[in-house]
Amino acid sequence: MSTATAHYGFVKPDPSDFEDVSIIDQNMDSIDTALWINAQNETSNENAHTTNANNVASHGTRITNLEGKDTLTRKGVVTNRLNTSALAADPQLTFNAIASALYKVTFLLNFKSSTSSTVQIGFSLPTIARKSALTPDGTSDPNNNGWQLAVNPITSGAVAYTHVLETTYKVIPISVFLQTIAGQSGAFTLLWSGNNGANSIDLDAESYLLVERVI
Amino acid sequence: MSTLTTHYSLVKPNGAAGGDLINIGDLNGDMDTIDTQMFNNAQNIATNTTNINNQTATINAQDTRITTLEGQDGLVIDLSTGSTVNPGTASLSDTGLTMQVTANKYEIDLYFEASATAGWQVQFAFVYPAASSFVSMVGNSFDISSMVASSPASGAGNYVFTPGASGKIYHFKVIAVFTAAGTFKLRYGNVTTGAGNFGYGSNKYMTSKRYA
Repeated sequence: MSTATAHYGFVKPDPSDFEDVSIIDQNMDSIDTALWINAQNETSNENAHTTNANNVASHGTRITNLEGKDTLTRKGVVTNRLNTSALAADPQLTFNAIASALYKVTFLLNFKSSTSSTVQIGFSLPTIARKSALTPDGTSDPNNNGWQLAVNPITSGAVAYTHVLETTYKVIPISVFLQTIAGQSGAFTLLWSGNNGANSIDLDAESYLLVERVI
Repeated sequence: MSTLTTHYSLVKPNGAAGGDLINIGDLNGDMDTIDTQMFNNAQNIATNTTNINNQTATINAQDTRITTLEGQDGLVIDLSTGSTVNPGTASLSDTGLTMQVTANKYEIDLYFEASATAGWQVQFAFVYPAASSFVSMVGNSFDISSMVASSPASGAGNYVFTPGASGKIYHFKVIAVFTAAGTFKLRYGNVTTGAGNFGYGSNKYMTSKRYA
């Protein structure tokens, strides 16, 4: 009397039976079907695995993007400049703007001058689709011009803002909105100079660059 | 004489002329071997499927968390300009500074370039969904001591200024705990009526930070 295998029910004729080719054929069909199902399941697993691997890679990129989105840079050292009207790059207050991004950039510039003097501020920047800088409105005392800011166009290298310093430390905050365009990345750097007669102007170590990348 | 397959030792009778007869016992043994090995394979595949499904669920949950983080900050840039001749009555209308918020805590900064005929007054207002807390401040963003805080009702006119014809940037900061999703927007219009007009320039920005 024939029996069957444990899992798939392949037919096992009794050794005393006559050879029956149809049973072999039946077993072959059963094997074929079971192998096909296994193969299909393996393919499905492989596809899901590939999708997962791609998503993990994408997550890595997105997390890296998030991790580098916002930065805060402390200038850390004092930069001293003698009387000049020539804008020069600040060595610390700079960051690399990536392409196709939106930024809000805030500078907190802590200037000190021994006598009343004029500081000039400009920027060097990559090709940018949209940009403007918001600065205190007023020349000597923004407190008296409260509730208002002035907008300054920012063009690479040009003087965007002029401020008359007092003889003590003076923090000048500047907010800049940037929209970089596709394929155009590069350094965004603060430029500054000061006219102070025979004296010099310090940009203190306690000056900061805050970069918030929105996109 | 029969031989065996490489990996699972299935019996291969000698198929040459005058070779072996089919041995049903060997065939049955082969069937058992095939049955066992295929079952083991199926079990392994099922285990893999379970593991991959668990992995997929974890990855999808991570995707949701990353997407939430990516959406925490927002920036609206409105480049439009406009000017309105005296409408004869105090007015408020929408500006380009509008965004959708969810039921979360927010810090929102708005910069709006306003202008008006000399001596004219303009007003601002916020429209926002249900909130358990809503406070706005306005002032010179660089002098916190000059900022004035208030809790304006949604849609109500407030914050009256005299900007001047050349245009000035006003900075508003809003801290809010929204309890419902909806539209947050800044409205702008005139207070003074008579000969004159008011307008707005292209420097208008709104940044937002969403907190858990």
